[in-house]
Amino acid sequence: MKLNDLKIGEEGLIKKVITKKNIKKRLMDIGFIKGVRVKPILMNRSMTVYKIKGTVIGIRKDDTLDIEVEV
Amino acid sequence: MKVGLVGNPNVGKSTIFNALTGMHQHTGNWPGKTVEKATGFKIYNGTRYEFEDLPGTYSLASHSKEEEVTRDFIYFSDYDALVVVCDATALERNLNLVMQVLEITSKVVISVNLVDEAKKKKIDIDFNKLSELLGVPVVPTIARSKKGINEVLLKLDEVCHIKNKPIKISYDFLEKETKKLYDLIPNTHVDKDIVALHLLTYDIPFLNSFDFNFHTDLVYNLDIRNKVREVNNELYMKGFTKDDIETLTMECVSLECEKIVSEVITYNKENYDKKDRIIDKYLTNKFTGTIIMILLLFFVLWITIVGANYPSSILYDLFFKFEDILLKFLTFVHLPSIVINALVYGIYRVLAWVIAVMLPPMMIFFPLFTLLEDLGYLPRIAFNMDGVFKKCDSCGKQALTMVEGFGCNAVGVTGARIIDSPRERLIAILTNAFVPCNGRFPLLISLISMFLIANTLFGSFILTLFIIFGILVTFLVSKILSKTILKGEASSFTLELPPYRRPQIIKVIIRSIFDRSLFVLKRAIAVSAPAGFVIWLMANIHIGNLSILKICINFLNPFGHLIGMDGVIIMAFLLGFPANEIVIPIMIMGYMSLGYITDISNLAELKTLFINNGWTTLTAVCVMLFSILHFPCMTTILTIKKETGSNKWAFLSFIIPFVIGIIVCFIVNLFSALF
Repeated sequence: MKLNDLKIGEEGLIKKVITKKNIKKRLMDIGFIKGVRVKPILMNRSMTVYKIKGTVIGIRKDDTLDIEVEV
Repeated sequence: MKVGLVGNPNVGKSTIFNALTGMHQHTGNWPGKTVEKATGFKIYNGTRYEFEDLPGTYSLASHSKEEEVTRDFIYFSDYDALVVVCDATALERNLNLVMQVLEITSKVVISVNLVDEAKKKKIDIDFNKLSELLGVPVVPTIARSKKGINEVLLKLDEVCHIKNKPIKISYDFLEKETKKLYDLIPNTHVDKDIVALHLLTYDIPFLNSFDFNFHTDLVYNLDIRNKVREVNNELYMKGFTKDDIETLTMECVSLECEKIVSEVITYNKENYDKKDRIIDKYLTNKFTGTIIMILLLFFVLWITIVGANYPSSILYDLFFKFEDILLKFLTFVHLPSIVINALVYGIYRVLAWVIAVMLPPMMIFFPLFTLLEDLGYLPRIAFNMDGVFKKCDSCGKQALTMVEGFGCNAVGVTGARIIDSPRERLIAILTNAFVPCNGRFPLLISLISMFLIANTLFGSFILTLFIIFGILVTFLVSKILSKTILKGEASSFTLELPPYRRPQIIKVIIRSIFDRSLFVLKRAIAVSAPAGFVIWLMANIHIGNLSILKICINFLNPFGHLIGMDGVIIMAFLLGFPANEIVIPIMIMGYMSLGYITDISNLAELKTLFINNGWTTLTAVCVMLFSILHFPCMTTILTIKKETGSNKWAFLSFIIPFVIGIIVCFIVNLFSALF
């Protein structure tokens, strides 16, 4: 399933990081890498805030459209 | 000993830097860049340590100017050791940077900071084991109370003399391939494996920097390019694209960090961040979150206004008493009376006025702002506002530049550095003027008190409304800019929400006062003094029997009336370009045909003066609107010139608000004439 489909509080395991070229590196630096657990904790119109690697990061929904996760 | 300080953003690196260098520090810019550079030193046990505080960065792959600066320093600069500062409550992610750094140098000391927070969250870290696994010294620190600082200094000394064996991550799938490039890579202190990796992934920014620093030619050399292409083809045959190489190497690093963390950290509390999450719920909720932001805005405005009142009047009195002394002294020294006039009533008065009006509010506003920043609230504002800004093709971080703009538009402009996208940064810079700075508050509050509501509390409320109007204009203009001269797509960015931390209130206040006073005085002298002289000239040089000022006023009268004001008001705004604080005094000077600025502290008297010169409530409203929607002050324009490096943007940042202000006032005036 897609990362954007995770509900708040639902943890997912990242399977594949597919996204626009320029944001991919930044996302990976933040921790969005295959095999890492991620959980959405806040959401608004444009952004979702995730708990990942012990940190809390907000990302625009548009930038994570194609990231695949499994629950 | 030269030491570089690196770390992720929000780990308390600057607190460590301050703990290490105390008062012995100095801020400036990295040469050729608008990235701040802080250096400092400390003498301990007979050794002199020189510290360079590098911009916070998530990784050494450069995305922004800041990360470029850090990367270049670590790879190419001449230093003796590095301190990597980590957040004990976010160790796993922080280790990513640690690993990258360890690939380059073994002279590293890890400072695991904020261990008191980790303890509160019942996060247990085995520092010895971590040190063993990483192969470098690890020191637990609490920067705010200076715990562990001396140990860091001792370990730095150690690390320079003892040969460490730091952890080395092996990228199995690449081993053979990278070795094929060894012969073509020049011998430098940078590990050939790393250079090979950057060659294979065509990391041009890195290679350019490498070439620049070592006078090599990795980017254009044909032999290298051919070999790299050959190796990449071989990898491609095996199923690895360039993208895959990058991704796979990062996956290796991530896996290693995860492994280390599992051996070293124990989480003894399931929901250790429960409190933060509950607070976030209220602060980012569409309903409560918005209300809290508006209330906070109102509260900060109100406190700034009320709190600045008394100190401002004390400063006035002090300055005027000194004015008498200055006058007596200059007369005593037998300076010609015209020179004394210009010096005292022109330059000194304006200087004194600007300082008296500008200093107290800034002393209140900026400490409050810094407190909110240290608390960790500001990113939440950016999160809340992102939706609206996205509609304007900009980003939520612009909200933060606007908040800073309340204090001073020049600070708001510099603050736009937090926006990665150059296009969006420009939008934030060009629209910052729509948020009234501290210097415009007195004008706004006085006019509200005189013509709308006299009560300070309700007056602050009306001020909040005007400001919200300014914010709405910001949205509109941002959107228009995105569709016209600053076309582009919505950007991608990441927003870190740090844990809420208790700010060190006393330290923040002291530091803020120190920084702000310096800024105010610098600006006053550089900008207000010359302005005072020019104003004095215009008011005292006569052509025929009218002063230049009066001639200008008469000339601008028709135009002024067209937009609901008059020639005096327009001249006051124009002459107030150096400093918004002097707009009302210039108006008084204009109406009373004086040769110097003066103040009427009794608002009833001031109102009478205005009314006798044709003011109505409508005039007051137009003046307030124009104050919110006019060109930013000279300091801001100069800052914009510096930040953007371009005269074009500086000019536009002057013209755009000016034109909008004129249009809005014209419409309001027209509107009311029709009804």
